[in-house]
Amino acid sequence: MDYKPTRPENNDNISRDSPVKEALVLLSGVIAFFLVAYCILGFMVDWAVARISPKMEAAIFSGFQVPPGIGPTEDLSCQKSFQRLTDGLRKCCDIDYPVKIIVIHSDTANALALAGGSIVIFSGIFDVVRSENGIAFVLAHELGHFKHRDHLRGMGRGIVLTALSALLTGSGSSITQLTAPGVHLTQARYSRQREAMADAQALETLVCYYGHAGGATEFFQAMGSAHDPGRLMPYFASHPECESRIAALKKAVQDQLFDIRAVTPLPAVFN
Amino acid sequence: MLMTNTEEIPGKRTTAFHGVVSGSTVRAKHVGRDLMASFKNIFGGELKGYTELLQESREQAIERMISQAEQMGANAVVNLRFSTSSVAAGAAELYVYGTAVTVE
Repeated sequence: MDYKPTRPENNDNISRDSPVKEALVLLSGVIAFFLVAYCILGFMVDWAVARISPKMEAAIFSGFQVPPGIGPTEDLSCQKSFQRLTDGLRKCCDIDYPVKIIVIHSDTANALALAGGSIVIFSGIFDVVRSENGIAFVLAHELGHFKHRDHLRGMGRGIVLTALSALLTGSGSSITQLTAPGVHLTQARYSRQREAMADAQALETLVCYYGHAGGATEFFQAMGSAHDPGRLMPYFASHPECESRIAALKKAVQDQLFDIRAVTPLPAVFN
Repeated sequence: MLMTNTEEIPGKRTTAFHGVVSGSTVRAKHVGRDLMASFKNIFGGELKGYTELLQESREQAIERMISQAEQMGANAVVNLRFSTSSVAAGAAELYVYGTAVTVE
């Protein structure tokens, strides 16, 4: 019996495939899967949202409270005036269920549409908007979100995206942090489309309520001069830039031949 | 290629030893199988996806070992052993090794 020590010519235990090629194939597969799954699940969210009645929504989110620490203002007269204005606007955009107004003392100039039929207004908005029409446009914009059910769509798509990225990368892994900007970009782009639709709806509501489009751009003009978003920020922003929103509104006013008349000053109760 | 886990092949005469040959692979199943396995964990039962995974890994490791033995001019592998280790979650390494010999 001989002992003939030899070594194999190739080590087949190591794969000779190009890692770059493999990475490209895997990455394109993952991206394709992610896009297809996001589109399908996005359509399913839209389908489900269309089937959730405002009544059901109110029942589901009845326990939805404003976060503690930023409690609603005690000023009931202010709240009531807002409620009257909102109820009037509501009739103009065919929302036949009650929308509750919550005014919160804060330096932030903003308003939010919450699931369950509430609009939160931060009192900082009175420092930038000086006319009732300007405030009405902001309220009408939030009502536009209710009409298009954007608050539910946004929530549903947010859940879908978070679930998908967790499924693909495993929750809490470092890859999740890498995909997070991508997830945010996708979400932000969708959100900007919905914001533009809510703006268009708000303009129509404003014209229906006051008979003219005065004050429609007041909030954006005040906010636009407040800060410069930078060159890349528009891609990450959930809302379109103020300038482009003003331009879109002005174009809509021209196209639909809306009048622009003097605005109604803000009632003393808001000051 | 003859393979056995005994030191000799009954009825055959070993004429040459060539040395140790080995084959190894680390494989994973796709995310769908992992998801099914996590569901199966709730109810219990065979994790078929993972049985399949290990079977495929063994076959690939053996193929690689045979390829080495052929390159060394052997026609049999004796003293064959399997070994396994865990590399990452949901992935398994299969390692097979033996002695390449020539028999007649």
